[in-house]
Amino acid sequence: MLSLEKNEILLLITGVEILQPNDSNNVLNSKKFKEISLFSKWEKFRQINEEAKLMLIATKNALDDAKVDINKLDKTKIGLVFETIFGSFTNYENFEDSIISGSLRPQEFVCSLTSFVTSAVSIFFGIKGPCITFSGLHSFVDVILYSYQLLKTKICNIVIIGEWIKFSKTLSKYSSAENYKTELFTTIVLKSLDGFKKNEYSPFYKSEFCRNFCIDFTLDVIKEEVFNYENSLGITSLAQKIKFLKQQGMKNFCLFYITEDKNKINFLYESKNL
Amino acid sequence: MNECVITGVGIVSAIGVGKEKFWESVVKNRSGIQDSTFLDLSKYNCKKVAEVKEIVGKINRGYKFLKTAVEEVISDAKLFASDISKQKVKVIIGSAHGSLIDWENWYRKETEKFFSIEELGFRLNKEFNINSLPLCVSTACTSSTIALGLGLNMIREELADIVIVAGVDVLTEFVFAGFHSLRALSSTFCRPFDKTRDGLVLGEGAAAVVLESYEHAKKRNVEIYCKLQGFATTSDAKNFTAPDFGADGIYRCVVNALSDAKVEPKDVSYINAHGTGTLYNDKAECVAYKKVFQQYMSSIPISSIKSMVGHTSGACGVIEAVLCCLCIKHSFVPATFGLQTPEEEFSYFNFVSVYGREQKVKFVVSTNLAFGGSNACVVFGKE
Repeated sequence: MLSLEKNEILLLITGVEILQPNDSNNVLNSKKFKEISLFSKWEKFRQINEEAKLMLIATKNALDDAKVDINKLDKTKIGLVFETIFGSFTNYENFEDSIISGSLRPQEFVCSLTSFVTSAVSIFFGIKGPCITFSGLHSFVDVILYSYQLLKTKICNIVIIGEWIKFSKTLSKYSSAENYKTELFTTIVLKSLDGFKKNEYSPFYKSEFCRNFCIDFTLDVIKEEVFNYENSLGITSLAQKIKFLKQQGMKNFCLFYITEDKNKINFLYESKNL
Repeated sequence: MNECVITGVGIVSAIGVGKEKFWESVVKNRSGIQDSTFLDLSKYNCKKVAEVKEIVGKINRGYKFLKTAVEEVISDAKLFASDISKQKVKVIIGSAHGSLIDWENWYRKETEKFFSIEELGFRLNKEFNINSLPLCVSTACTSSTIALGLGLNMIREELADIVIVAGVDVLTEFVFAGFHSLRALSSTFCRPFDKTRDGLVLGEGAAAVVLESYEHAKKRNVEIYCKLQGFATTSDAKNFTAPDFGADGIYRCVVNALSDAKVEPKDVSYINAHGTGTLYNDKAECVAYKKVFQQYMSSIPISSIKSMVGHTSGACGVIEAVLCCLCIKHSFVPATFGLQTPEEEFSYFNFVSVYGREQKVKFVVSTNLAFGGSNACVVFGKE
């Protein structure tokens, strides 16, 4: 049985994008996406790496999916929370090679920073809120919890979360590389739906919440799944699930965490059978 | 909402390993900057760095730093093994490059293994029997400042009983060459806020602090250094390497952090600036402080310790947090080593130069900035 306590909010998932190779090739090429033309006239386009190009495309598509016109929003109230384990190791390798050859390439150094991709998305879209990069692909719960706090405290009205894996020579030699079969770039757009103050639970439950999520009094029509701390690539797992459920006709996806059991993130969506 | 306090500090820096040695150097205004002894910088015209001499060897250098700082912080906060095993303890690490020196050695075929930043966290948790997944923030030079903010949120929201926030970064030829290629390194000496400043000097080090709720600390009957009272992070959304000269992002960041801390600008006793010693960073910071603190800039002491410990990249946020804790504890504000004559535009600022000052410290603002336009600010308050 779902119970919401205190001033809990729900995180509405309004847009999703996953870029993954759709053929036997396990690498992505930004030039193969028609959206790249939207970015190619940007003055800084030549300074950015392939990872940043692909994440720009993924972010743009997720915002479109969320039907968000970012230029109509207060950009100081938009946040980015991205994670990646291997960052931009191709640039690490290129810059290291340039040290060895004695011909330094400064842009390779700048692109090698783990947070470079997040910065590129921030700069292109003009996002001026908190922009954070986690190093590691086990941060899913922390990404959600931090997004939750940004939305709950009204620091942000929208948070875009994401993760990416880009292959490199380093990754191919890495001990756990076999866990990562293809390159991928995932983004999810989150907004908040608040108003679950304990004393006001019933009215909200009947009106706004019902309308958005079609929860009836039994609540058991809501599908509920739990992601736990062990999940690697949690953001992509969630995005894949949403894409699949959308194809099945499901809609209105949201996340919340249970105050009493903070290790769990709950995922809810509206069933088409309602 | 829980009040968050700091109950332990640990530090590895070029001016001392351990809080006593570090603080003695700060008070005596010593700098750890000199020619590198373990990096071969013969092909570069700049040679100055701030190295940690007490910990030798390149292999596992980042992990050695981290372990040393965390060992000290656990002891300083009187965290016993039973506390760690029975309570919800979270480790958050901030690092720009993690154990890059191991990667560099691996890439040059000098070693067989390297570790990601996240693996440093896993190793640390295993070593200290911490039963949670580490969280690793990598936002270049704001990494560990943002890690502090995330730790503050966890304590406020009761997501953890204890949070150990650490920062680490190690000198490597990779990072040195990177900053050199961007012409950001000083060819002489690091002089933050001085009108003759000509660049930064890279450093290395690690630091850690223990965060817990006020009630939790009182129940454990441990010494409280200070409150971690406010945090904010913003983005410039302008440039990859240069700051926004209008300093709007830094301004919003400091204002938001003060608002989060519920502290008025006039009540701030000390500003621990990022102060790298580059022409543009220091100027942008001063523009932002002028907007935030207005007429009070002539009375609020401001300094940077980067001319003592070097610019320690992602570790600087927690290294400076340790400094701020000790400033509050000892009622002392440090000097900016090397600062002689500030720029005319900011000459009315209350820069602390040559000698540190004994004075009561109630609220401290500590700011860090990073490539990509990342800004982060924390506010510390006396208990």
